[in-house]
Amino acid sequence: MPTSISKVSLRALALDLAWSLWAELGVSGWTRRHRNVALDLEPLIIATAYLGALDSRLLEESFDWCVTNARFISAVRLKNLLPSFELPVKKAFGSFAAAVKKHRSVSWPGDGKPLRVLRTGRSTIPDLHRPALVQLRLRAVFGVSARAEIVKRMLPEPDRPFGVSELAMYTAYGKDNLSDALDLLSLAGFVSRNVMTKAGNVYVFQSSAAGRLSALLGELPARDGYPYWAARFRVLLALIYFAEGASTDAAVRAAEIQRFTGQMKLDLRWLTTYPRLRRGVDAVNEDFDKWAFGLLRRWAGTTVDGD
Amino acid sequence: MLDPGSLEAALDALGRVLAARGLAYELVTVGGSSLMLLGLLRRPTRDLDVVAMVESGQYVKLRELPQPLLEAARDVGDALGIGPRWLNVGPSDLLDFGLPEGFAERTAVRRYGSLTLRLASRQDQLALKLYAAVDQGPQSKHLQDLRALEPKHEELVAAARWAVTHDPSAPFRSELTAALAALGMGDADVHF
Repeated sequence: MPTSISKVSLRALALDLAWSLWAELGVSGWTRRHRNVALDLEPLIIATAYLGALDSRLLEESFDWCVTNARFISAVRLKNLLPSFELPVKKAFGSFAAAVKKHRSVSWPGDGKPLRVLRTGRSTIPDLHRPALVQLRLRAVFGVSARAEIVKRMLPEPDRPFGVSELAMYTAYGKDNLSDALDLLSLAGFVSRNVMTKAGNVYVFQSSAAGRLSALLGELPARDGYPYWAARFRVLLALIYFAEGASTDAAVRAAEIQRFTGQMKLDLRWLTTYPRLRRGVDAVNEDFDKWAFGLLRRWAGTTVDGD
Repeated sequence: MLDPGSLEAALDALGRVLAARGLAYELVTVGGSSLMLLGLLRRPTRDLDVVAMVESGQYVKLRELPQPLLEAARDVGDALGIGPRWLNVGPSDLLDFGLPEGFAERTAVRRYGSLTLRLASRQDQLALKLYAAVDQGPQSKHLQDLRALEPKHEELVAAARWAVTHDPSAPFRSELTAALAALGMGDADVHF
């Protein structure tokens, strides 16, 4: 028998993570373990719509927050991110979105029968001064826009040039939208543009006002506190499906692990993590489980020194 | 490299993985690994050669393995540490020239979950090996495999008669005679 990932433990870690992030957004009653980690609202909402089936209180509180704070949420990013998630997530989000639309006039993507969920009325306007909420602070300044996401992505790495494709992936905005936003930021002196090719048709962009912006924005997460949450949630949810459907046959499971890592390799590459699997059925199962638990514990913020 | 234990383990795992993915395949195999599965050869091999797929009872030539089978074999190979290419399409052109008569009836059937293998018989493997040994020369693994199989005189005669149907040219006959002589059959040319 494989040393199978415990479904219950994985779910618990996923819920721990979601609760901690929602706690940063002001949802009450849970431990905040991501005080210095910039969160990303739209992938969190999409993932929560799915995880909410495991925790009705999380579903109710996050739903209430979304209805109360709909103005902070980007429908464009929801639309662009949703296709990158698996079908069960899309379905869950469709129902969640339909329920929000009953209370707020928003153009969120997704179809479905509205979720039967009641407003708790406990949500308030989030404290934008929290470092974790730098995204919302930027949206308050630049609008819910590609400009806010570009600045957020460039903030921790002011010396690094970014191509439009990479920015499109991180910000979840289309390239046309981004190019326009970069042009505006360039005109305003927030971003500098450099030509990368002799033909002069490929540009890279770099922050040119990081110091001024940081001073203006107040307390920010550390440079390594800006994770790629969309990829994290895709991997996290994929791990949950894997655990739910995993075979009890060790050899089959080991082969499915190989398939899993192959399917997720793009996200894993950007997240700079990859399971190191020894050879052999038992070793593959053991190494994968150890890696998966370690990863989720780290993301959930439940790892203690020495783990 | 594959030895009898690792090959059986890989096929067993592949059959179960295919079943778990709702897939089923029936394959015709030849070569060193097939001989190993028949217990006729023990040298380590690189891969298992698939010469055809069976669909509705008919042999179908393969240019490459079907993608779902390829992926499942790759996943199993990676998990077991035998590499992703342990199951390959072998000399599928054999189907164009024709397999030895009665080949299908002589195959040995092995079932591994959703995977069924039809292993070429000793008689047919001798014919295929002899043809390959002539084609690839006296230093090839095929001649060594033939020696290891210790074929009887009449088996070599039957194999040679089939081989010349594939290439009736004089140079081929000449090299075939030399190969048979190397296998201890001095009067080879009088038999075909």
